[in-house]
Amino acid sequence: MKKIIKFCLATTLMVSVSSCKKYLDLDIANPNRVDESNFWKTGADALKGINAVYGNFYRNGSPGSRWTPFYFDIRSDDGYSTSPWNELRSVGALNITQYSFEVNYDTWWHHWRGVYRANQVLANVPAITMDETLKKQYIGEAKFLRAVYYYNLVTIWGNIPLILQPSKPDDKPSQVPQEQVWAQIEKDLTEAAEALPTSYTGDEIGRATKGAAYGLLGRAYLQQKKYQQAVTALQWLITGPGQALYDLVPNFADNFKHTTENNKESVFEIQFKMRPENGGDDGPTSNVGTSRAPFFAPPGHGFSDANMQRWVVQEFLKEQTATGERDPRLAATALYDSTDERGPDFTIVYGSTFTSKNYDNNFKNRVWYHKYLDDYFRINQFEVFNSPINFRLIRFSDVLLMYAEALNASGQTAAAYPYIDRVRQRAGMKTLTVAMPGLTQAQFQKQLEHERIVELTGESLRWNDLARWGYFDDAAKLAELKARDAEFNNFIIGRNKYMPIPQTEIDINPNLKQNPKW
Amino acid sequence: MLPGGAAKIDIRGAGTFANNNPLYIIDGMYSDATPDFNPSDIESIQILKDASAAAIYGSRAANGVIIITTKKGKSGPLVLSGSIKAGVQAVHKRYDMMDVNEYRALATSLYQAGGLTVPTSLSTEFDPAINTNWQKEFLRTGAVGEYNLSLSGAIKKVNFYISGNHFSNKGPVIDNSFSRSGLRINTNTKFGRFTIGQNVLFSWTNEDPIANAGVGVNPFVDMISMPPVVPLKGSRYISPENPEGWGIGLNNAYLSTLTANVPALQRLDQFEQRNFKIRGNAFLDFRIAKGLIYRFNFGLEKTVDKGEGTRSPGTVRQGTPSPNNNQPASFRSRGEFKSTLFEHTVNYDETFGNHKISAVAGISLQRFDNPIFRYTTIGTNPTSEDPYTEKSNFIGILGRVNYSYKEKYLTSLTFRRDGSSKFSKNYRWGNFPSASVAWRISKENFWKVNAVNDLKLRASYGSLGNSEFLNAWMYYAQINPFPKAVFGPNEVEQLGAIVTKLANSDLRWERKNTTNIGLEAAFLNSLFTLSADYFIAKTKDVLIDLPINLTTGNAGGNPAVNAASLRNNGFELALTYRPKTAKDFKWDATLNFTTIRNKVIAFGNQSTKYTQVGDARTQLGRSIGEWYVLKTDGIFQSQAEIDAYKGKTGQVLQPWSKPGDIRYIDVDNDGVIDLDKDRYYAGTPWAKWESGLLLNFNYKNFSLNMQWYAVVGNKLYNRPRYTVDRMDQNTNFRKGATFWTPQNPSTEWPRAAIGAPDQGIQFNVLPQSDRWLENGSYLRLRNLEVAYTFNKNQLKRIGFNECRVFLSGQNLLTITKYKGLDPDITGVNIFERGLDNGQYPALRIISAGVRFGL
Repeated sequence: MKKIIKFCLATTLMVSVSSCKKYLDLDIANPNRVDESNFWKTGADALKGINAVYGNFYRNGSPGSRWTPFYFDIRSDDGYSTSPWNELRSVGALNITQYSFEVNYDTWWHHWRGVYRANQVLANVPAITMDETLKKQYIGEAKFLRAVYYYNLVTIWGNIPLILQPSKPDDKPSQVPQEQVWAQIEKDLTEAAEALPTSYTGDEIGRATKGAAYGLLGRAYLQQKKYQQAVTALQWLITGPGQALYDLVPNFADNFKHTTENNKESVFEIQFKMRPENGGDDGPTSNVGTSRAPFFAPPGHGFSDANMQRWVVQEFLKEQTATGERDPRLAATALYDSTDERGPDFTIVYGSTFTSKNYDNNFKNRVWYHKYLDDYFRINQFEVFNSPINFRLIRFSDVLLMYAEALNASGQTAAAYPYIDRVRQRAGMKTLTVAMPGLTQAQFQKQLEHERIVELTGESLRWNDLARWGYFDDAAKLAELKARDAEFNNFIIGRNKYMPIPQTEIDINPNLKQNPKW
Repeated sequence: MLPGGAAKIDIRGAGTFANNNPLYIIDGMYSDATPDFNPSDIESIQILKDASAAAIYGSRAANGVIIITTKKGKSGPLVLSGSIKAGVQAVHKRYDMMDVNEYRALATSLYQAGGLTVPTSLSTEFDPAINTNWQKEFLRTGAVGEYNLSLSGAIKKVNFYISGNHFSNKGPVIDNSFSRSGLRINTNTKFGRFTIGQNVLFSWTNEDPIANAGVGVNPFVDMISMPPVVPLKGSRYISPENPEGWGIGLNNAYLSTLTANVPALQRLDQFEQRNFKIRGNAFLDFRIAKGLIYRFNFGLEKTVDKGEGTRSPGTVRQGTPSPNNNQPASFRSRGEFKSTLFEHTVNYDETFGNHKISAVAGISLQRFDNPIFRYTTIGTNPTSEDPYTEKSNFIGILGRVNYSYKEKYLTSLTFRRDGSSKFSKNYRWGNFPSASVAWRISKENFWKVNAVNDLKLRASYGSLGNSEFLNAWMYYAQINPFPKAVFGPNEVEQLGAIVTKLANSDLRWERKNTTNIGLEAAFLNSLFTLSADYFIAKTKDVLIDLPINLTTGNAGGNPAVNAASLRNNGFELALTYRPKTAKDFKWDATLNFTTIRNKVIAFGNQSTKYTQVGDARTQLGRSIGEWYVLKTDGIFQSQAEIDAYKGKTGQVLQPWSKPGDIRYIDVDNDGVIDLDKDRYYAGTPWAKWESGLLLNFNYKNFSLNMQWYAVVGNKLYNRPRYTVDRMDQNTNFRKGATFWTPQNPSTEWPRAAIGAPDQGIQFNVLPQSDRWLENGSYLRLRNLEVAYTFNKNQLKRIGFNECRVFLSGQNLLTITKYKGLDPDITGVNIFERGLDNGQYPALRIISAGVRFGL
């Protein structure tokens, strides 16, 4: 018995001594993840960092995914929401009362996530010892991407903080004057344009280029009505060194398909890919597609949460092509009973005729946004949250129309004609030079507004067009919108130009003020 | 409580924002509240509330300690005992919802009010034969069964206790069950100066939980809000995504609703969680000298959790396309948890005449290791996984001295130094001292008050650390390796890595300092006994994941922070009356009364004075999570009333309103109804007082026990009611629901319309309004038991030593004005303590059983 006890004692002692060291250590290495202090050391880290900024595009509230179209298209006079989800509908109906509901919350949040990631790259990459060319490129990409997010933030919410350093948990930023945000966007894009390469090859195609930076810079100047600067920035793509890189593709509809991505007309695309799994936030099975399509597809193929106003179709029918045909852009833009001009028996909706859908009165007169639907390959299927169609954030035809607008606005109406002509000619329309020579500056602007509708409807540009053209600040111009879209009866001047900031943000940050009149 | 779920126990209110669960010490092994326990194995339960008493258990004891000692074998004849118990359980209350005809009438007029086409399911294609009672489809009467058998005694010098236990529970929701089997072996033996022993439990559990998959699905809300016009299944609903045709909104002219078919989800989502656990300890006592004992205690808890599930094809809610809707998917997860404990203590216990001293000193080392693996397979697609391992270490150095003189003066001093790997280098260690004194005044010679036969006064102060909220490595930002970017014509997924979740590097011990004064007294020869305590508990640097601004770009959860300091002060009283009665009839009664106030006294390093989660605001100087919502004031009955309702600057306050709309108060009196600034503190989720009454009656062999419980003065937010009363979406409605029209004016129901076409209706359905708050007070008969114990003489003849039969009922009666299923709400998190979000309600259980011994 004594032997047993001695053995027990000895074992106990040995076990406790040997285990002691392991147990006394309060510094346990993390086997799962790298600690921030061991990151940002090499060129490989810098590459992963900048890739992660692009990676934020795959969130629901990020540009080109499911929610931004509700802000830029459905809120506008060309769209309306029919969602059974009251809060979502209220975004389009301009009478939102739930400022923190999922959509407004996620859109705000996912944009700031992009800003935070870009700020991390900009704060850490400059100090890394690595290939200087690549370093310069990564920094340029981060500045471009930060500007993409700030452009949306300042146009959706107007009065926002300007955050340029990596965040700390208890940051409680205040808002800054809008001019300060715009100045930063201009600075970032000017520096990005200087730093970025003109193009990429192979597996790098899709990264931000010099042309992308100039394109967005032009857009930012134009939105502020800095027409001369806009002309200078956009010139690079049209008549400057970028001239050889960009052109319009022959088939308009190719701009909204995954099979013809990153073509000559693309100035910057958000790259999407269909994966079998579409897991959530930044996990091993995260979605890298866009979840936009299900919200816009007609019944049987999507939720039909949003529709296009019928007047848009009429806008296309105002003018025929040079050969007397219907504007081919209509079919690519609008899915409705007569997307095929022979009517519902010939119009194809996800592989079968419009007639065969037997839509009831609720649906048969509706028009759906056609761009970015997967209807050309998901035959007789329901849309899925993982569409592979790249979102064309900047398209060369938009660049041409912006250029024409800026030239006209700065008094060079005659010089502006050729750029509208290029866009019209691709669609088979007569040139404006032939169809409507000698327009005054105001007439030209009015015509340009029409050109932008038929060329760009459904590409998340309309809201800012209306804002820039003064429709939101003037009761008479607002009345035009009300006539086209009854939802504008809820529009209050001084309020609805900007969305309300999520209430949850204001509830925990006393430095943030709600936008006026919300 | 969920089948197999752990009880929510707060000892003395919410001292911390985070985990308020007390520490369980089961046979010397530290543990959390777990459902693996067999109540028949319990020899004794001791609850330590006093900080000084709990101090020896260190950093995890801040919320109180529950010490459970399991049965030990004794020398003498072998004892075989057992019990069998069987019963039924159910959600006893239902929302009283409309039948299909009532629903049809109201929904039709709501669609018309919204200017929408009435769905054909309500008009031309209305089928009165479909009249689905969704609560009936989802809920059922469950069953419980429990069987125990134990054997104890001594063989030679080894005392042993062995027990086997099986518990099975068919849940009160379809496809929901829990079972547990356990085997316990406790032994101890003495050899001269040595005592060695071990206690070990093997436990197997198996759970089929309630499926809760998918955004916007909440079973206890959806079961009331699904319209009765939707069938459980129907041929109309069959599609490639929904091959079995489960009834859902179709988003067409026939039917549109966003409510989920939860019985379908429950059937399609088959998930099974299996758990195996070993928990136990082995100890060795060595008597060094008289009164001086060295003890080595080794504890181990090891669990293996396996989750396995399949999702059959089918859609349970309108508009949820997903690649896995029309192909089966399977999920697997595996978690292992290992906690080991090494304790070396030296105990000294000695009496010198009137002086009694006991002391203990030692070191306690604890290590946690918890790897988790997950796999998902959709259709034939490959498996993916994200293994993650949690590791942490704790070190405690402890010392305590107790001294008493003549049992009259008692004092105790404790010191503890705790180290935790969950903090960064500079903040790992904390010192936590405690002290207590007591004076049994009735033992003094001068005590001549005969009516008071015992009186003890006591006071204590204790400081305890807490780091329970934290997981390992929370004090630094980790690089998330999963963000990726797609580039190029080949759509290459390039790897990305970046910080996605922020971290606070200066995390430090949460510290709870409790001062307690109390007395224990017995009156009139112990006819009455009384225990009364007043305590002030200040919790400094409370650890929690406080919401941070989205402008930080943070993702993946809020970072942990030492957010605030709280004060809980309260009064506890327990009075027992045990009358001297006739021999055959005995009874006694114990009344408990508790009142606790909690208050936020500082907001840490935060540059703020409040924080808010949902509709509950936590502000400096107020209690945690008070309701902060708009103030309603009835319903406008006419346009004249709207026009006359003006702010201080003379303008109409609600120009968007129409007769029938809710009137909101301009709380800040600035002349505008503002969704932010016109909110007010509309009540607290914390009870003003709680009280319990325990009654025991014995007549001959019969006994009757009752446990009553009352909670008074709290406000609850009834979100299920909000979901069905807002009436701007297609849901079912509560019986008697209506809406304001000029022909049908109401002072209770505002104007409503499906589609919410105008601002007035948008305002009528605001969730951040006191319209949804309700009084949460209740009185409940928690437990009632009738039992009969057989006489030993009768039993001897059949070879039994002991036999008792009983019939018991839980939650048989609840008196409350609360409209929801159960007013006993503990909220979804500490900040929204009073939010009824459709949580699992308390169940009514009626059971009968027999206990016997040989």
